[in-house]
Amino acid sequence: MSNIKALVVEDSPTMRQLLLYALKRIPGVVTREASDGVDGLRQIQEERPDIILTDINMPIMDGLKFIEQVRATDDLKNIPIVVITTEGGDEDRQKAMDLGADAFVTKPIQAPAVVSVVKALLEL
Amino acid sequence: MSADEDGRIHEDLLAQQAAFFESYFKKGAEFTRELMQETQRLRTRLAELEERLSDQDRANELEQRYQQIERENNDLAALYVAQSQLHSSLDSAEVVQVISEILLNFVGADRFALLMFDGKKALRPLLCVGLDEASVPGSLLGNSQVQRIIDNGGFTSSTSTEPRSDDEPLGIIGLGSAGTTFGVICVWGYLRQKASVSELDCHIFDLISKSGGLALQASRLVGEAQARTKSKPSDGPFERFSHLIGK
Ligand SMILES: [Mg+2]
Repeated sequence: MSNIKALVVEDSPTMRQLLLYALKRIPGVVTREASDGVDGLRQIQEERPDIILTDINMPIMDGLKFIEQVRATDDLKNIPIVVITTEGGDEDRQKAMDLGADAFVTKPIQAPAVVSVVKALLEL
Repeated sequence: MSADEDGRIHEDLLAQQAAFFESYFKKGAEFTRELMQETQRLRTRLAELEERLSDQDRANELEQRYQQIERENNDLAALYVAQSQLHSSLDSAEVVQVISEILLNFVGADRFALLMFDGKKALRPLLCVGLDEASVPGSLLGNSQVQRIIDNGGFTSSTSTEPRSDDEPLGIIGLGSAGTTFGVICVWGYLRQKASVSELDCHIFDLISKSGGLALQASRLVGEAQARTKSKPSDGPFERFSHLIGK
């Protein structure tokens, strides 16, 4: 599969870079980045991603609201969503899964974990 | 029984004995031949298996090597991202934020403080994550490990992530530049799911100690140059940094 479009929605530039590097380990993946939910929705309008990775705690529009908005759009219902959470964020993680997220990766982020979750969801 | 009869029986017995021995040796020869064939067959099989085993060994070895390269690649990517982020800003508040995010997101530390010397040479917390300022032990300068890092720079870390019952930090990272340590980061706790401190974590501590110290110093110089009026000659690094990060 060539040109798999991945969107990373994360307010921390440090985390975003780490996630982008992890995704680049998968052949054929091209990445876009957004720093909050609103920015994420704007990026989706520009180009429909094949997979979304999103943080939960973000300014302007948080990850939960973002997932809700994505899932409320017919065309975007089936895009796999991976949530980046902290171990302490059990409740947020559950909310995200209830809203329609498909998987989660727990901090501290390890590239192999990100790669394997993304590969599994995209059946690569 | 006549002597003739006796002789016939004797000859019969001899003939039977001869026939027995002939068949016995024939069977022996046949058995030996079969045995030799079997040995040859087993030898061939053994050679096949040995070859297959060495192929398997080679495959295992390659797989292990691949895993190791994967790990090294991931570690290098994490270090590269950490390094580039540390030098991505000349704003003190942003540099402190990056250090804090690296510790939280890359290493998985969730209870730590960044302390700097104030004008009276006391260590004062500039940033606390997962604990409040009041819970930072006041006697850190009396801690021999902290003192060692202040004297020599670098970092020290226990391999365990289990919080200690005393106030002893699990990790201490010196912050400095040009051979002078102006502050330390003390780590008291890690995220629950973190089982141990890895080699990569230690490389990151080392990076924070060297590049983080330098990035902080550079940001302070830039900040002070931009706002020359605010710091006094009697100020220590704490006072010089605290207003730069809006504290
Ligand atoms: Mg966040």
